[in-house]
Amino acid sequence: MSIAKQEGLENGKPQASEVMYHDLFELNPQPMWVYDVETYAILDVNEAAVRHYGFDREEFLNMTILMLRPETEIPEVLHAVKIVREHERMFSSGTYKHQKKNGEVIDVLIQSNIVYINGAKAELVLSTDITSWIASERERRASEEKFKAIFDNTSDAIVLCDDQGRCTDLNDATRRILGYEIGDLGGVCITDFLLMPEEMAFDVVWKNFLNGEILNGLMKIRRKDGTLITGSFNSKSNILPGLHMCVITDVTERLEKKRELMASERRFKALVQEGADLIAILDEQGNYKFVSESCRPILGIEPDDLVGKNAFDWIHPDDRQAVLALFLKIREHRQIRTEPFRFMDGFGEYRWIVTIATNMTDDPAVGGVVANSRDITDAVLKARDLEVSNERYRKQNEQLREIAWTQSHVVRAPLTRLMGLVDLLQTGDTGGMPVDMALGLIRSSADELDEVIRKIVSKADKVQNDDE
Amino acid sequence: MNDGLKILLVDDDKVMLFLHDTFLKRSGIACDTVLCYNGREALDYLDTNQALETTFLVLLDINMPVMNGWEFLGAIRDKPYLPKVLIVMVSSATEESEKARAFAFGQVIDYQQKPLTVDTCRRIIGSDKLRGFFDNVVLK
Repeated sequence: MSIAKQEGLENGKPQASEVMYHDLFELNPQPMWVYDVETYAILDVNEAAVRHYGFDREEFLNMTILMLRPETEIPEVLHAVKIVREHERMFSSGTYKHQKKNGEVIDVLIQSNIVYINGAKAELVLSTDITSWIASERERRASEEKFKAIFDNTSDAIVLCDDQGRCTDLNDATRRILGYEIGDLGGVCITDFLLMPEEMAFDVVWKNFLNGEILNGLMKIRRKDGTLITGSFNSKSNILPGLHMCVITDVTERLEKKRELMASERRFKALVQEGADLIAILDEQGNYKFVSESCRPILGIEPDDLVGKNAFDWIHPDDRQAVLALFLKIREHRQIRTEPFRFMDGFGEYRWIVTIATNMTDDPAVGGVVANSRDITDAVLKARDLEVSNERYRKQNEQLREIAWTQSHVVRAPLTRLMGLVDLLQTGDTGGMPVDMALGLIRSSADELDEVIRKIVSKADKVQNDDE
Repeated sequence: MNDGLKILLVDDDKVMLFLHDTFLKRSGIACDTVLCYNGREALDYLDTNQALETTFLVLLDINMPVMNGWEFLGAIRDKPYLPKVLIVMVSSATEESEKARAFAFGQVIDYQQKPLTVDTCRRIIGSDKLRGFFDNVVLK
C-alpha cells in the first residue's frame, strides 16, 4: 500500500488537497517515485513509472533506487544521495543513466526535491526519459560537424549571403579561390566578385533569385586582388530563412585544359583522319581495333570493314610471312619498320605499303600496336620504270662502248696501216716493198676503213631505233 | 749486231709488222728482230730461247687471234725468264683505260699507239727505262 493511501487511511476521509496532490503524483504522465534517502528504498511510485520502467508496483516497492541504475552508475548515485542527506531542503537536477526491467539502459533527466513523510526524510523524483533526445542531439551534432567539415574542406568556394547579397560567411576554399578572409566580409557584396553579364541587371537577377529562381552558370569572377578567373557559379536561396548559399568552382584551369585537349584532338584528327598516312591500332595478334578515315581514300576500304579483321589476311601471300615474322618482334622491340609489302585494296588490287608499328599496348589511352602505313605504290612503280629505263640506258651504253671499241680497234687498224704506209712512201725508200704493192695495200686499207665506217653508222642507227 | 738484245715484234697485221720492222731498223738500232703473228708464237719463242744470255724487248699488239696481248702478259707472269723480258705495248687503242691496264703489268715499260714511226722507235730505244739494256746498241 502506498504512502498516500496509508496517510489517507490514518486520517479517515482524505482532504481535497490531499486528493489533488495524490492525483498530481499518481496521474502524472512523467515517471515519479519517492525514496527514503537513508535506505534508498522506494517508498512510492506512480503509474507512469510502472509503465515506463516495466517493473510492477510491488516490485518497485521492494526495490531501492540503486536497482534502477546500471552498476557503473551506482557510485555516482551514492554520492548524489550523500549530498541530499546533508541538506534539509534541496532541489536537484541532472542527467543519469537508468536501467529498465528488460535491461535497456536509458538516459534520464532527474529532477528531485526533498520531502518529509511522517518526519522521515525522503526525496521526490521526477524522471524524464531523454534517450531519444540525446540520440537525436548526438546525430544533430554529428551532422553539424559533418557539414562543417564539408563546408571547410570542400574544394569549392562557398559563400553565405543575406537578403541584400552581403556576404556573411565563407569557407577555406573561398580564401584560396577568391582571396578573401573572413575579416574582409564586412560590407562585401556578392557583386564585388561576381561579374554579371552586361545585359543582366543584378537587382533584377537577385530579386528573382530570392524568389526561387536558380542562379548558376559559368561566370567571370574577380578575385580580391583584381585578377579574373572563370567560375562555375551555383546558388540556392533561402537555405535557411534569410540565408542564401553561393558555390563557386574555379574552372579556369579545367577550361584551359579542355581547350588544350580540344586543340590536341583537332590536331590528332587532322593528323590521323585527314593525313596522307593510314593510321591503325591493332592488337598483338594483328586484329584491327581502330582504322583512320584515311583508309577510304588510300585503300578504297571503309574503316569499319577492317575493324575486327586480321591485317595479315590483306597482305600478299608472298609477303605475309616476312611481315608476320617482323610483327611478332613487336613484343621485344617497341618499334618495327617493315620493308615494302603488298596490301590488297578495296578493288582487289595490291598496293605497296610500308609500315612503322609502335607497341603502345601498355598505354591505356591506346591499348594496342599503332601502325602508321604509307602507300608507296607510285614510288615503287616509278622505281621500276626507272629500273627499266636504267637497263635500257645500260644496254645503250654497252652498244656505245662497243662502237667506241670498234672505233678504237677496228677502225684504227686499217687507219694506222694507212698512216704507216704513207710514212713509208714519204721516205722514198719502201724497204724493198714494190711501190705498186704499197699503193695496193693503201687502197685495200682504205676500203677496209670504208667498210668499217659503214658498219659503225649502221650500228648507231640501230641503237637509235631501239631507243625510239 | 748486238747479241745482248732481241726485239720481238708481235702483231697479227703483216703489213704493220713489215712497217714496224723497217722503221725500227731505220731508227739506227742494230739488233735482231723476231716477227710473231700472235702472243702464242711470241711465248713459244721465249720458252724456246729463254736460255739465251740476252734481253728480250717485246713490242706487243693487243688485239690478235690465238693469244692476244693481255693473255700473253698473263702467260709470262710466272715464267722464270720474266726478268729478262721488257714490254712496250703497241696498239691502235686510244683509251686511257687500256693504257692504265697495261701498266698494271710490271714488265710493261711503255705504251705507244700505232703506227710506230722512225722517231717513235728512237724515243723508245733512247728512253731512260731502256738505257741500261741498250748500252751496246749502236745507233746510227
